[in-house]
Amino acid sequence: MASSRKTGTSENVSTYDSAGGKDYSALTTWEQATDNDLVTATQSEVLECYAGAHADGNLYVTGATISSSYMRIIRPASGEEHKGIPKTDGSCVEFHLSSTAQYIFAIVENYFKVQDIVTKINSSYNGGESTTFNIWVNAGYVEVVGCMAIDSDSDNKPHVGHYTGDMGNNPAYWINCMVMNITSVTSTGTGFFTWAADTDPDVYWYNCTAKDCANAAFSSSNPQCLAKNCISQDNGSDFVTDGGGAITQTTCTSADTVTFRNEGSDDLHLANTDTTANGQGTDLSGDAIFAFDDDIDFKVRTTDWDIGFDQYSPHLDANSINLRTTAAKKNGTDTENIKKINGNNV
Amino acid sequence: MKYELAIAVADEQDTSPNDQYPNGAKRKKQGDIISVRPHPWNWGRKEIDQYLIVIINSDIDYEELRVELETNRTNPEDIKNKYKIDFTELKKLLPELDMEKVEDKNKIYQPFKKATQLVEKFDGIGANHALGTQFVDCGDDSEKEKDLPKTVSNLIYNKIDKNFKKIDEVISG
Repeated sequence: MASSRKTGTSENVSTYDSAGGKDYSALTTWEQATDNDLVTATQSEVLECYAGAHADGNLYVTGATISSSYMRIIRPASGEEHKGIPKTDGSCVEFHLSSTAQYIFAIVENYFKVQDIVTKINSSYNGGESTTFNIWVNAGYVEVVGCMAIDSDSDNKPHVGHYTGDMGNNPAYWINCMVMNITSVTSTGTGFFTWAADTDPDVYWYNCTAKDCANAAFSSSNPQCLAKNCISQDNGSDFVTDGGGAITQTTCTSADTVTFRNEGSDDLHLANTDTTANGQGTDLSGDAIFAFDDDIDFKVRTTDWDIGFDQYSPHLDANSINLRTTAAKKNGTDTENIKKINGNNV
Repeated sequence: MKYELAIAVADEQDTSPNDQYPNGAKRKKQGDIISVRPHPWNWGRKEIDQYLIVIINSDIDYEELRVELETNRTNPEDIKNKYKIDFTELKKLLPELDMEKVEDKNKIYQPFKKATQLVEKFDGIGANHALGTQFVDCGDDSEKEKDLPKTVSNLIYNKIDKNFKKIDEVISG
């Protein structure tokens, strides 16, 4: 089966932590050290990031010679992945948009991939929409997978969660992504937005979730978009088009009736009581455009696909259950069987 | 305030024009300012191997300076970095600067930095990430940090308007 987290051929892996101690401490130094001819070198360049609230960004990705086999990728190091909740406390790989910057990632390079990071918009940039990702200027076949954007700001500046713009005739893929709380300006606070000068580019939103965006969840100004298995809940509007834009929907929901596990804690995994999204999706494991079979938590989706970035599974953690059992007495003292569920002692 | 600039030490060949980069992508050139971080900064292992770290004084707010130096590319197809350091002027300001060492890819040469601070995050990590002060060349007095005053006028070059700027002028004009 196919994971949505694709890898490059012959990966050369470097490490990143803005706190130091790894190969790189700034995104720009890695980008400019690796904008080489990767095709001739027959090598892909990967930056594996460590957990932290990284005040970094303004990254302008351009200039490497790439192909569908050899490209550049940013992803968490093993064990540093988020848990499907957009934490902004440094516990996962987070990039926080600085006070005066417009974007965290401006991607102007084909086949670039970003996987499983959390982005937080906190910008007073006033020259247009500030955003987390900006797939831009003829960049094509860019893949953003498992990424979550959250806006905790209220500075009255225009914000967009995930932006796709001006990609020429090239497609862009957003898979298992989530945006929430883009509320700073009612007229422009949009979760997933795409703009292009013409109507040709295809933007693919597969199994994405947008919640609490003041203006719209998914919006297209000209490009042709396919939204499959997407949730729009509690947004100003749901699937919006203007110009020549179009959004073709397949098993999406905007009924505002999805039950999440714990909205108050930004946990938009599906609750066990949900019936709107649970089992209502389309199986995309054989999709002709972008086939995959996993969810935001790397969990393999079953035959009954759910709508949104999460595939429901029973949630067990140390706070919700207690399986600690007295097993036996040893030397007159109770001993316990400590069982592990989801990696937690319970 | 002091800041640390990561500077490219060698030219990198540009791409040929193709569909994605119709003008050919312009990659980093010797002297290009790649990154700025507050002082003291714990650079990564490959960063201190691949870039020259220059310490400079400035009164500009860090975020403003970072956004100006690292972005603001007015024509993304034609230029990668907006600002560069003039190495001839740098050599005048720091006569002991050894340009052969700066350009030698087999040496870690950081004459502005204090050796112990440069590697403090690496010592003790072990395995492939171990890096000790014995592996870096910080000049004759490896524990003496050097920095440049904010008043130097012919060091930082704006490639867009083709003028030299004092560091505090990159924001104010």
